[in-house]
Amino acid sequence: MARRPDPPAARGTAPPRQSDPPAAARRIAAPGDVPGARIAPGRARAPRIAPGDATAPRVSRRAALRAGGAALAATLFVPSLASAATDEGGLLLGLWQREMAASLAYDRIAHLEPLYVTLRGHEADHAAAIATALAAVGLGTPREPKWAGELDVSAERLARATDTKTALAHAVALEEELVALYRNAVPALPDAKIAMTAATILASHSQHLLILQRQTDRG
Amino acid sequence: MVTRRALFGAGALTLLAGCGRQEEPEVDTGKFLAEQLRATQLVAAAYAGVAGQGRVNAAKRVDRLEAALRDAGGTPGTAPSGPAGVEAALAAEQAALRAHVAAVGQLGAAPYRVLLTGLIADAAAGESALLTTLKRPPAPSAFPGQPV
Repeated sequence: MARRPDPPAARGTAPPRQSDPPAAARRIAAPGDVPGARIAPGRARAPRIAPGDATAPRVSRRAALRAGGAALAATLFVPSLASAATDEGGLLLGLWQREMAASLAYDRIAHLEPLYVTLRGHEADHAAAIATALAAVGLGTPREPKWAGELDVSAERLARATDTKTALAHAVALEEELVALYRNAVPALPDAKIAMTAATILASHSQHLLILQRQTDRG
Repeated sequence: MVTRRALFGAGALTLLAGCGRQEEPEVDTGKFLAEQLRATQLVAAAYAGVAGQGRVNAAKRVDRLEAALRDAGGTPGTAPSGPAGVEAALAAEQAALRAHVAAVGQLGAAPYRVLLTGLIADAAAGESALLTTLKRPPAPSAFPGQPV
């Protein structure tokens, strides 16, 4: 497994900006936003000299060699870090959003069945754990969703359920999606500790699914 | 005599050599898979006499692990014997789940992670089913399988 980029300390660990989620999202996609990168892409560029330009500063072979070496190092080093950071951060952000949505959805139907209170708490715990992982890769926590309309389709359906049977069906569908989501996510997470945390969350959703399916069978 | 240019060239080569992917720590994949297999064999053995689909499910997990171990060049060991019954099966499922989660941190290759996620999902569901049988809360933790 590739070594993790350096901790985000060098880039600052500003507290999450609750009022500005798009900024956090933009930080994920910023191509130069590479944690731990020690070679600034701009410094890897060789000096430009027009052919035959006598006024241009003379560039020694040594300087050219140095610039070339730096450019090669940047090619070898920076893209892999950028790719890993962007992929992992984006993946974690998606998991956080799904967990927050699930927690809000269970909160909206908690009056229908005591089990949903437990599930609401578990999803909130999962979201908190993923927020910690987000911080570990240098990303803040986006603004929490507050309305059903802000949720993914499955969570929104669950949040809008008004009777026990419908809620149960939508809860099963939601947990099936979450199990599948984590089964895909765990192999893609490069950090061992984050992957292990995601693995325990997968186990949790698998248990939720089994419990809900048994309720469906009984109903 | 060593010129500055030669020294610089050697330094640049050293820098470039250090810029690639870090060497992964040596992981004995066969040993890890054998440990997962042993834990799952104990689960299957513990389901003896327990009603439900638990034993069949555990046997399928054993099959998957034996195949993975053979693919990795290993030879599956003889199934160990252990205590049986609902409580024993619960303890075995919980131990296997912890082993699978720990292995996720050790085996980074995607095929092994895929194998482990399937085992984790099944072991966790097995744990919940047994807890239900024992009339205990079926989902007592938000993070089942985390290291104790």
